Parts: sequence; structure tokens; C-alpha cells
Amino acid sequence: MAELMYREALNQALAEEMERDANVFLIGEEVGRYQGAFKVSQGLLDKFGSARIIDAPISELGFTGLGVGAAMVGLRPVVEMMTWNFAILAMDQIVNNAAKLRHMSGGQLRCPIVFRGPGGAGGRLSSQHSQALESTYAHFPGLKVIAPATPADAKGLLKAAIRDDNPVVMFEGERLYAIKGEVPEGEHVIPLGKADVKREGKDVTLITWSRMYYFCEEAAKQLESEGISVEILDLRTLRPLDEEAILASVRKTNRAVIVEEGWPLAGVGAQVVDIIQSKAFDDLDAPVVRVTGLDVNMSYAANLENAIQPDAPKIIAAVKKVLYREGA
Amino acid sequence: MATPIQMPSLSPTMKEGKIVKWLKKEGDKVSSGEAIAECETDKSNLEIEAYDDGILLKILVAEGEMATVGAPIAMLGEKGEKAEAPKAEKKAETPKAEPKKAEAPKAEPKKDEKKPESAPAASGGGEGIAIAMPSMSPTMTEGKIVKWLKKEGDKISSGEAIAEVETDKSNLEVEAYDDGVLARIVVKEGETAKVGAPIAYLAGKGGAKPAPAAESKAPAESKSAAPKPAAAATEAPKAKEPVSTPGGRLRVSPLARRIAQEKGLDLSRIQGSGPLGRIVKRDVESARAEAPKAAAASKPTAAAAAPGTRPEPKSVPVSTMRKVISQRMAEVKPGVPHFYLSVDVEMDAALKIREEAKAVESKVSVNDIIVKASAMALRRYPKMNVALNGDAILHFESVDVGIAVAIEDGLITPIIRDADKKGLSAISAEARDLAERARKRALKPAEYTGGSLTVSNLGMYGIDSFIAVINPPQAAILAVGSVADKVVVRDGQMVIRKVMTVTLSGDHRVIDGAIGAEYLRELRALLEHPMRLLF
Repeated sequence: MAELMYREALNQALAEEMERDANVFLIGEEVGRYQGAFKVSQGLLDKFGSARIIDAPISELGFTGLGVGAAMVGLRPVVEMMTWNFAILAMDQIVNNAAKLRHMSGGQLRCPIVFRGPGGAGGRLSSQHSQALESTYAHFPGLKVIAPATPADAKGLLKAAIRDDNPVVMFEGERLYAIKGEVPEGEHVIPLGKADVKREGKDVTLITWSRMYYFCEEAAKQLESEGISVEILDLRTLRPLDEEAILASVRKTNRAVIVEEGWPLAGVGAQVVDIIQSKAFDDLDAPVVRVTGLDVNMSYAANLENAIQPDAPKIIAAVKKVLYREGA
Repeated sequence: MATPIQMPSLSPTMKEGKIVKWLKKEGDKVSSGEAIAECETDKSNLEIEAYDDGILLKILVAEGEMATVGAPIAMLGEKGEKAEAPKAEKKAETPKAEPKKAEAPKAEPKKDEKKPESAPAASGGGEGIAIAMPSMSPTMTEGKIVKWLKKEGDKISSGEAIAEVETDKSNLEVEAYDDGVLARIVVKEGETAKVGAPIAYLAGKGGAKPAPAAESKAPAESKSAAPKPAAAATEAPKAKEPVSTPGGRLRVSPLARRIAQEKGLDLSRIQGSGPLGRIVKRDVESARAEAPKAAAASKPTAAAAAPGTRPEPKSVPVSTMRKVISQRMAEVKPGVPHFYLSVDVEMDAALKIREEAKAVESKVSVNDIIVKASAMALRRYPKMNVALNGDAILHFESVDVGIAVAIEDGLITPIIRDADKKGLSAISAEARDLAERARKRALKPAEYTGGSLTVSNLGMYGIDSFIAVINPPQAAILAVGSVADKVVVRDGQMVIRKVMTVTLSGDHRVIDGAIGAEYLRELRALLEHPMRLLF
């Protein structure tokens, strides 16, 4: 299996799907000539031409609307947001149109569109460029929301998203583009809505997604050395949530910590807690604990930027808390 | 007609507010939106605004006094009107004025939005005014309606007693703050309501009944302290589940509870290793191994003891007073680090005083002498006359001694103020009066709050010595045992003396052992040489 960077895995998925289906096209700022702000679309302009790799002006609402219209008439657009922070300008198209077209047309219209781009904090970009907005989109019925952590998942989920007949919102970790991992070649499609047990364990379940998965791994390794066996469940899809996988893991370990980059209030993690407490209450040996970003705007200063986000020490402390271990 | 101005909720956590300053005086004209008083909340000092035009007829809460949110603090009305509002007939005669008067309640739902727990006051034009459960003692969080003195449809005048309420301390009367007709009783006799929750609705002008919407809300806020027989019967099987221990709430994780149920383990016999003693899976699992043995051992005895089955225990709802006692004791015992000092006191001389008092037909008990001596010792050791209040230590100016009085369903500690300055007969008379009224639950809050130290005497039950739990927020308590003949050694000779053991429980956060020891030494000296009580 080839070892690819996260961005290369996405590139591969895009290329393969565009080859497979002539209706697929990519639109966004700097996706063509500049080869992508984060180089996800590198080489695609040469391969597919400017009719399918479309450089859009700085006009998120406009080109997102174009994508939604194209999807309505049978094409399968992939709309790249330079970052999800800018997609807030296009919320009306995503939320009011894409998410609701099927419902409002009584099922007559489909909207097979993917909105994708980087999210999350890192690199001292301060508050307007450092938001983990997954829960915002996960809130809306009509949208599917995915957030892969590994290159393999990035490829498999993007392929599934492009093939889905519904609008899919894909969060890519801005800090994940350069990480490497083995990626299956060719037809590698991961069904939407399926979580993945990334690490088997028996004492506690860490439930997470996207970049936070790596902090969980770091924490799990250290906890393992202290004799604590940690299971890591990577949700991968945030809407629909894989309730079955969440409950199965919690029933196995009886304890859960949810690690989420975004803010605590109304976060996806809060929904996961609700699933656990309402459906696996009798399997809990301790209250579920959440590790989230702090409830503040992201700082510019690097030390504060780190302090605001979850990290391995915070996760370790949370695990010890649910295990009633000392030092928590 | 006069309408009440209520203490508004000025912060999300505000439960009561103190009137710092009245910006208007009785008789002053007040316009809607005008600040009428300055109020200290739990957060800051803010101004209270009037929601209506009128004349400030009467100030109900004086400067420096507290009022719970929703409680009337003043009466607003028209010029020349009495605070006690015109008679009901008059209201009926002047229907035109009604909509205008109804405007005041209209503004009030605003306040209620901020604080849904408080009484919804008047919920709309003329629908009715909520009568809220008042706060009648500093520790009162809820009250039980013992008896309604008025029935639905009765006319009520402001200031009239409408119900008798059992608080955690005593039975008191709830007064109406407005005239009108008692439209609907929400909390029935025997039921409990939280402070601030509506217990009844007073019909607005013309006796209109409150809206049905309020009807469905109100009962939800009050909870029944005395479940109906039917409910008790259905809940009875639950009692089998060991959900609580005599010492308090049993903490069990849901998983541990499930495993224990499956395995038939008695949770109350399992020691929890989680936070606050929570029983978790590992505790149940380790207990599981021992279970079969225990079950095997207990079976024969159970079979022998019971030809029939054991009758279901009678479940009696906890009284309000007992609930508060249990809460406070559960808080103070683990929360306040106690230390204990005991001393034997020879009481021969003190008993002689009692005899002499009898001779002059003055009834002085041993306890009265102890109260006096403990107060004088406190005066001499002011480091004992303290209490911890957050980050500060309160040093009391006066010496106020509490006396623990056992009453039917609990105990209460009325206070003898300035006990160091009072003579024995005064203490004796006061103690008897307080104890008697305590048993009738007729004490006023001021009579049982704010003591320096409590004297708890179980001597009359023949208890030699015991250790008492501090009565918070006080910092010390004296546990007094019985006076009994004991052999003591004096100058190498065995002699018989009347000996009494006194044990001091001290709050070690504010009192140290040496201070406590000095205090006890002084107390002993005073009791053994009661002549000193005169100096």
C-alpha cells in the first residue's frame, strides 16, 4: 500500500472520482492555476481542464450557489472552501438551499454536492481562521458531515461523499494535510455514518474525530504505560452519528471521554454524551467527561493557541478522572 | 387599588435582595420606570424601578432588610388610598379602572422570565395574583401547608393570615399582601412548596379566576410531602431496593447498581471506592466473590427467624425539620473538622446552689447553671466566641448561648442572648419559656439563629458522657452528661463526689485545642466554685 499525505489522498480521491464520472467537477478559490491553497488539487487542472477544475473569484456565496444549482440539474460538484471560516459567507446556500432542496421539492430534487475544506486551529491564525465548526453544520438536518483523521479515511470518505446523492460537508484538518499514512489504491470507499475503532482497549473509550485523534493516540500510549487500556473510537462521520459503534464501545469499557476541538456548548460531543446517557446509562461506571476547546475565541499567541485546544495531558487527566484514579 | 411592588430578580442567581436605600418615601409620587430603591443583590447594588405610576403608599421592607425575589417590598396606589387597599365591593363598582390597574401585573411577567422559579405574580390582566410561599427563616427552602385558614372563594384582606405553614423550624402564618378573593389553592394541606413558588392565587379585580395555564404549571412546582395512600402503595416495592443508608445517600454508578441487582447484592453493605464513596464496578465485583458465602450463612437464620415474611416497613415522609437537620448534619460532620476535649467537673457546690435557689422558691436547673458558666467562660475566652464565615473569622460581641431542645420530630436550639450578663433566675425563666415555645413550634427565627455556642445536655437521660455535633455556623458545642456519684481521690483519700463529664466539640478551623482546653478549665473552675459566677 502506498504511503500518502492526507492532501495526496484527497487528490487521489478527487482524480479517481472525476475519471469515473464526468459529472464531477471542482470549484473554488485557487483550485486551478495555483494548484489549490493547500495543494489538494495539484495537477488536476492539467488533467481535467478548466471546465472541470474551475477557479472562482472570492465570492463564497456565489460559487457555492453555482454548485448547488449545478447539483440540482444533475452534476456532482465539489466546492472547495479555502477554509471553513470563509464558508460562513456561504451558509445560506449550504443550509437554506442545499440542505433543504430535497425536502422542499417533495423529493423531486436531489442535491449531490460536496462542500469541503480545512477546519480547526493551528499556525497562529487567530480567531477568525481557527474555528472547528463541525457542530454548526452537524446541527442541520439534510446535511451529512464527515471529518476524517487519517489519509486512508480521507480518501475513502471523500469518494463516498462524491457518490452520495445528498449534500455532504467535509471537514479536513488544516494541520493534517501533511501527515502521512497508508492509503489503499483504487476503489476504496468508506460508507458514510460508520465510526472506526482505531485502537482496541478495555478500560475507557476515547471518542473523537479529525485531528484530535492524534492527541488521543498520544494519550493512549502514555496511559498504556501506566497500565490503562484505552479504546479509541474515531467517529469519522458526525452526521449521522454511528450510535451503534458508540454504544458498543461504551458497553465494553463502561467509561467514556469525548475529545472535541470545538467549543463545549452544543458541541457534537454533547450529543454523543446524550446518546450514551440515554441508551447506555446502566453500563456507565462513571459520568462521561468531555475534553473540548476552551469556551473562548482562539488566541494569536502560540502558547495560548495551544492552551485553548485539547491536548494529550488534558485527555490523560480526563481519563484518570473517569477511572477515579488519583492525580486526576 | 393598591398593588404590591415586588422584589425583582436582578441577576440570574439572585434569590433575595437587601434594600440598601429607599429613594422614595411613603407618600411620594412614583412614575413608571423611575428608580424607587437601591437593592443589594448577591452580585451588586442595583436600582429597583417602578413598573407603574402611583403613590408609594407603604414601604414593607425597611432599609437593611432582605426580601426574597417576588416578595412584596412596597405598596403602590392612588393618592389618599390606604395601603390596605379599598374594599372588594368598591372594586366591583369601578370596573372601568380595572384595565388600568391590570397594567401593573402585565409588566411583571418580564421579571418572571428571568426567574422562572419565582411566583408568576399576576400572570396577566386581572387573572389573579400569585401568593408565593414566603421565606420565614434563614434556612427555609420550602414549607408545608399545615392548614388553610381560608377556602377558595373567601374574601381576603391584606395582612390577614390565610394559611399555617410548617417551616424547618416552626409553624408560622402566611399573610396576604393584597385584598381580593382566594381564587384557587394550588398547594393543598399536607403538601410542600418551595420558597417563592405560588401556593394560591388571589383573584384580581372582580374575582376572576386565574387562567388554566397557571393551573397546570403550579402543581408541578409544589411537591407532595405526603404521598396519597395509593401512591405510597405503588412505590412501596421500591423501598426494598437499598437506595439509601441511614447515614445518607448511597452513591452507586449505574453499572454497579445493575450488576448488584443482577447478582442480588446488598449495596448498602458494599464500601464504595469512587469519589464521595461512590460504589463502582470494581467494588461490586470484589463483593461478588464474598456474596455466596454471605448468602449461605444468612439463609438459615433468615429461615428460622421468619415463619412468615417480614412485614413491609412503614414509610413515613421526612418532616421539613428532619430534612433540614439531616442535610445540615451531613454537611457539618464531614465538612467541619471537629476536635473533642472532655473534662470531669465536680458539681457538689453547683448543686448546692440549686438547693439554695429552691429555698427562695427560684427554680434553677443544673443546665441553667451550666449555661451561665459556659457564657461567662466564653466572655473570658473571646477566642472561643467565634465562627468561620468564608475567609473571615467572626468575633462576636455578645455571648449568646444556645440550648438544644428535643422536640417531637427533631431538635432546635433557641438562644439565650447575653447569657453572661443575666442572672440564674433570668436564664432559668427564659430557658423554660423558649423550650416550651420550641415544643409548640412557636419560636420566631430571631430566637434560634445567631448563637455563639450550644449546650446540649443529655444528663437527664442518664448519659454519662457523649460527643455532640457542632451546630453550624457556630464553632463549638458542649455535650453535658449526667451528674453521678463517683469516687475521686483527694489528698490520698477516696471520697465520693457528684461528678459530671462535659465534652467540648470544637471547629478546629477556628479554634485550637489549647484554646478549647483553657476554656474548659475556666468552665470547670466556674462550676466547681460557683461563687465565681457572681464576679
